[in-house]
Amino acid sequence: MKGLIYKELFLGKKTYLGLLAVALGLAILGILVSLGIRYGNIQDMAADEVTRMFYIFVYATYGIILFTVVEGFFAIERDKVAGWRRLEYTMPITAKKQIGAWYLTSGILLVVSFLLGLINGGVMALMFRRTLTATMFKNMVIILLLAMVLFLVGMPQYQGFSFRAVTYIYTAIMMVVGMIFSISLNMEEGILWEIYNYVWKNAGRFFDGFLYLSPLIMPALFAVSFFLSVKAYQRREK
Amino acid sequence: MLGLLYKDLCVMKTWIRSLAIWCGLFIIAATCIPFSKIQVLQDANCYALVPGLVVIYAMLYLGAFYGQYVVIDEKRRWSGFVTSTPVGYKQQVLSKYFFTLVSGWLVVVAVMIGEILGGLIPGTVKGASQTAVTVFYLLMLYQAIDYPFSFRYSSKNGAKVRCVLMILLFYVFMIYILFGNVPDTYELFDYFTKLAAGEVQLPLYVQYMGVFLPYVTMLIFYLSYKLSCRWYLKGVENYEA
Repeated sequence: MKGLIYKELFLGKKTYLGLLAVALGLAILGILVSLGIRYGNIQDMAADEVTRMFYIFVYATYGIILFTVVEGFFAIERDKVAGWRRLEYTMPITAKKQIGAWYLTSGILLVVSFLLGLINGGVMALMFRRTLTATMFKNMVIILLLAMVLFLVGMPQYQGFSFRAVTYIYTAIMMVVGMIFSISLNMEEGILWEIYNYVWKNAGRFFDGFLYLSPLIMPALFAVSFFLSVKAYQRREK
Repeated sequence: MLGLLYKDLCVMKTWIRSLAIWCGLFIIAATCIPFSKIQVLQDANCYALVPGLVVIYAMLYLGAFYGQYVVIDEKRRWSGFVTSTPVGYKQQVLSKYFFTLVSGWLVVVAVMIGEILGGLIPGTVKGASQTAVTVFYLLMLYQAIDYPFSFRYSSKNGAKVRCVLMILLFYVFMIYILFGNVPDTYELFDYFTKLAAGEVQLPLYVQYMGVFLPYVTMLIFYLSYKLSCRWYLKGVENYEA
């Protein structure tokens, strides 16, 4: 198992380092902006605007780091292309072990991303002279859980079907939903507009509920996702 | 060299076709915009910026085209083959430079035709050709710097270096914006719209730079060609098989 995790980390290092570099670049930009607010040309920026900037640099950087979860999907395709499965047959590696290694690697990466996000949040709070509140911490946890849900839902699908097919289907769905919503938002009427308004107004409540139920939802989702992934992996084997 | 140019035309025909379509669209747009009922285009200040933006877009497309144009011949086998023929690698490099220059000029000519046709209709704002010529020389200057590195280190590695340089430039720009002596944004926008409409003149030193720009560009272009010839065979080692 240790070797498999090492393999995943080694092969994905370019993606991880690339994402880390982008996040670092954004963090440096945040520090520059905060210095600009203190000593530079944007000293007259309103307090609300400064707070908004602080939120942008905390959440955007965190979001970029969390993209490491997508690397798990690439890993499956990379192994398919490289013909890893043939080599795997000569080793004492079961489907459960292989899938477990992917889940564990992504879990480790998500935890590391969360910690890096917290460090970035602390630095930004220091630079922008704002407080990293309990609400912000809660939001970061919710974003982490949503990234986990994305991973757990996507993993069996990427195992079962080709990378291109799943990506195309999701992109198409997102584009259609985005188009329908943007049209309804522009019209400012109709059932979609009401749904959007309802979701927007109750988003906080929904996410809070999700957070409180996550100790129940996440293990169940993990078990289902793991089971389906192993089945899909074995089905492809046949 | 004619054979090499013909080969490039055949390989890059999709790009050339889309570039030709774009040039045709510009000519049509230049003649149609004065009749447009879009309110933004009827505003004189905004309309003054349109030719400049269109030209910059064309040149950006051309820049992407050049990036792809060098990549097509980055094969170790092809480089070895062309070096062994009587044409030689110098003609290969020359064909790339020649094609770059000619395709850039063709876009400038298309912009000029568009402006002449647009100029027949009263109310058209002029200035696209002037901007196109300036941007053309700047683009050639950029290509003159870019090509030797692409030939020496391959486009892939050259792009990495370019990416790092762009990021550094972005940070320098941000530091200047945040801490430098920057004029007010509205004043700057106002100045550029007036400049595009021909209401104000550029500072004298910029005008002098404009006069020398073609000569400097052509000189650097020639030196770049010489450097590319010298580095071509060394760079072959970095190409894919």
